[in-house]
Amino acid sequence: MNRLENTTPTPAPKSLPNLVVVGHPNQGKSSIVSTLLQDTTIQIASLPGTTTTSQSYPVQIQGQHLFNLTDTPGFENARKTLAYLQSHDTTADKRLDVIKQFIAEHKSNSSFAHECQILQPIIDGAGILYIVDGSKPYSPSYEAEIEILRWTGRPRMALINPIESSNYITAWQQALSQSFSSTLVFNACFSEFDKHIQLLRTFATIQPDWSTPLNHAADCMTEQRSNRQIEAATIITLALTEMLTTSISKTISQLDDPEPHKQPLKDKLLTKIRDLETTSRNELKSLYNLTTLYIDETDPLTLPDPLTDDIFTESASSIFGLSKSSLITSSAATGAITGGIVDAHTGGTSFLLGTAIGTAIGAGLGFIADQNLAKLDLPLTIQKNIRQNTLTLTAGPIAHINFPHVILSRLLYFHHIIANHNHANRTPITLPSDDNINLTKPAAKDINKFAKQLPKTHGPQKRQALITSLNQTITHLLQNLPIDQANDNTSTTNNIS
Amino acid sequence: MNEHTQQYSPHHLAALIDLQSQLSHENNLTDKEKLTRDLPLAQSLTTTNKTSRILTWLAHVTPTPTRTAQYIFLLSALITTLGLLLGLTLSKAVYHYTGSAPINIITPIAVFMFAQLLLTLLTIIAMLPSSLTKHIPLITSFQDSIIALNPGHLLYLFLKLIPSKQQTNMTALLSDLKSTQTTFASLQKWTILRYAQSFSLAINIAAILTFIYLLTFSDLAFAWSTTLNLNQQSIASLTQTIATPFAFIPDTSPTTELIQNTQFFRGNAADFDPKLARDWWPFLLALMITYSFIPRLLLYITASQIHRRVIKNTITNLPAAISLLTRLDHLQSAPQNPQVQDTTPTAKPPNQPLDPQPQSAQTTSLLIVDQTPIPTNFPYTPTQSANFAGTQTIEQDAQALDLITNNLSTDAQLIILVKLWEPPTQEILDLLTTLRSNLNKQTPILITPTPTDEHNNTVTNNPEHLHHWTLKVRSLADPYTLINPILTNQQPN
Repeated sequence: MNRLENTTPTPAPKSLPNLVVVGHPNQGKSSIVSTLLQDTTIQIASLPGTTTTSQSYPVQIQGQHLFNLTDTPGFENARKTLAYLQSHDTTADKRLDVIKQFIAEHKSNSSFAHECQILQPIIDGAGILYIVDGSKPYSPSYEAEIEILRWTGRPRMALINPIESSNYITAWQQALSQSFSSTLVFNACFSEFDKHIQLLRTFATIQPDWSTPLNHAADCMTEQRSNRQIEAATIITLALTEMLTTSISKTISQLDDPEPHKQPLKDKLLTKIRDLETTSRNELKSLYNLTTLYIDETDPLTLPDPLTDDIFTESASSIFGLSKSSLITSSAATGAITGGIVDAHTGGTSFLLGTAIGTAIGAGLGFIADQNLAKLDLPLTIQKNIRQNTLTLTAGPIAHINFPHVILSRLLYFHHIIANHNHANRTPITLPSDDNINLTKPAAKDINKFAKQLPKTHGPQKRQALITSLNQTITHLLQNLPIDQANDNTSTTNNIS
Repeated sequence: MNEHTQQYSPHHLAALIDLQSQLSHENNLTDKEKLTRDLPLAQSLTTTNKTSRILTWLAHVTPTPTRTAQYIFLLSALITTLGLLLGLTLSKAVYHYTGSAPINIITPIAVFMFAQLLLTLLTIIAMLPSSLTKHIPLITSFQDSIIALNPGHLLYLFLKLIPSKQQTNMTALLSDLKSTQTTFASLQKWTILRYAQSFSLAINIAAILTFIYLLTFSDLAFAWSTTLNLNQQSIASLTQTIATPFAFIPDTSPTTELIQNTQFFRGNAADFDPKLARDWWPFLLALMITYSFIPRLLLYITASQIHRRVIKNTITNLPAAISLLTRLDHLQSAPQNPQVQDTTPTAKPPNQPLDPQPQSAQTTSLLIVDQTPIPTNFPYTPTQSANFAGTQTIEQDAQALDLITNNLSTDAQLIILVKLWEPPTQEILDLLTTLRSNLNKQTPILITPTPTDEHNNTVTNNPEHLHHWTLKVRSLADPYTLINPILTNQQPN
């Protein structure tokens, strides 16, 4: 038997807001709970009636209990329920007593089991989030549900969840605006984070008593989001640093031919870099509590083509790295910086000749590097050890000018996917393969500077200063990356009616 | 939690070492195993402090108490002992007295004041935060050089003395300290500086105690002597300046008489007053305490406090610890869902109706549920029709059912027109049950879901909707209640 069915509903603390998510079967109630809780383990199924009991979830951030969300089964017998309530019609102040009486009389009746589960948290003081599917037409059968909710007198807000399309949103908005204080288009699977915050702040205006805790919850969620971006920047910075400094060595006898050892060594280096990338991706997934999406190996999350592409393929380099022109520009800029340093040391007597020569050399190297983009050839050095009569073969670190851009773009892109992936969205992600994250010019310049200086920086303090600087650049990138820079398949745009 | 559970201090290196070790072992567990294991703990966690949550978890998952703290203490003790031995040796060397020539006070001034002040200054430079040093050219390189030559590296040397079986966890973390990881950069610096201060403080304590021992158990004679062109006024001026911080203590400032009578020349030993020669000791002791011990003690306290804070910050900033906190949060938010949902998709419903097409009947009655619009390609011509649900009352529904069932001939079939996209509810099941009880057991009841709206636009072509209807109707186990959908090739707008 389903574990949820056996669970006694958790009573919500009275002092905190409790939002109960109600609606017709199969409107995405559990999806909305999953998204707001940022929890991939809330059971979601396309089969109507999967949720059979109401279930209260504490919304916590860093152990701080902010409010409660209650998932409920769908209405199954709304008209008969309403008929009962209307047949016992009384003054407005006695209506909750009528509902209590309904629950008392019908709690053992399987035909009204869902209605009892829905109404119980409401009479316990919950605020109502009424969910409808904006991709299906409005129908008179919903009127009974809306009337029951109106009967309860509790603060209520309608969420239009466009599951398959947005074809009927307008009709729903017109219908719902008559009975609900506020209506919000909220796509449970693809809504942007701002929408989650908007939902809480809107409900705070509907129920002034909850204004402080719900606005506080919104603030906490926003802060958590910001902290996650900072932590993600650290993960990406560490990964990039490790990848830029990774090398693999092997010692062989001087009598041995080094040739057969070269390719396996290069392969090992590539494997190690891919492992580092996988590790950092897993850390990013874990940061956003999306690890569980990958647990069932029979249904792994399918990543978009650029992410499943081999890290060193030509297509990946061109998609994520620098274009030919930007590669030459960036090389020229790096050359100019180096030349500028020489100029600075001459006290101006070089008449910027260093900068000019550096720019020219950089641009030339960029052009040559671009010709070899597809290869991304790995450096392999051979060191003789005369005393021990051995040779040490070392593959890496990869010093190709485009390499950090490839890695960084891939990780930024991956972060973008994860950060914008709603926890209710259990379907594999499929994104167009021609999406790109173009780094801003200052950021690209910082990356070049970092990649150039890192191999030469050995002292921990200096290294830390360099890494901290990169971390700041990446944090800035994450916080300011425009949504349209990377693929974004979210689609909700409507505001409160 | 078992009785062996150990308590971790958030400021102790042992906590970080054990945490790093445990978190690396976590890679061998599946997420499901971790969620199941951590569920009871997450539910019992009351603290919101990140570090406390992590360390409570660590204590919970560590099967047996580790000896990491003891080994850290051992390493610390070894460093301190070496410092004490070095301080003792240094003091003995500086105050070496054979009786043939007095101890030249210039030497302790050089060793216990000028050298100590220089080392203190270097330590302060090494301690400067990167926010202050990042704009000063070459300062970070200078800091790195200072740290590279720092006696705090003795920690790594003494690590080799730890039994090899116990070394692994400590080596792993200390290797991380040497790595390029930003997470550990501050920790590396402050671990080295903190143990360097322990070492240096031990030297100073041992030097002072040795000096006191020599003063107590031997008869020392002091003089001042230098090849440089320094006269008595210069020395008086120098010593007065040095004594300024402790001048308020009696006898610690050298008098003019003392300076005049304790200058030592190889040629005129007759001017030297051996009685006064011992009077330098209060000055030298105060000098050692003021310029060696106190600055080092302050640096030790500073380094220790910052080190403790850095350990605490590192604990919460470990990437794996961030994952752990997320997991604990999740388990508190959804404690009833420790099991990961099986995301294996169910078999896709077939595009074609699952039920056989009904055999043709002579007459057809139509019951329209919830004002479902009749599609243009509706294949039947009903002899009678009625509405059910929608805006009707329960009484009107009952009348409609009476109308339909009472007038239905024995060879007739009943079509129930429903919206394909609306999931079948208990109300529909109740309707079907009522109808069957009022009709002949073999009268075909055909549930006809239509995918089109009132404008004949296709609302959905998703085959799952039909699948839901089929499953629900099959649950009635009525062989004559069948699904008979209206299909359309039109796509939703």
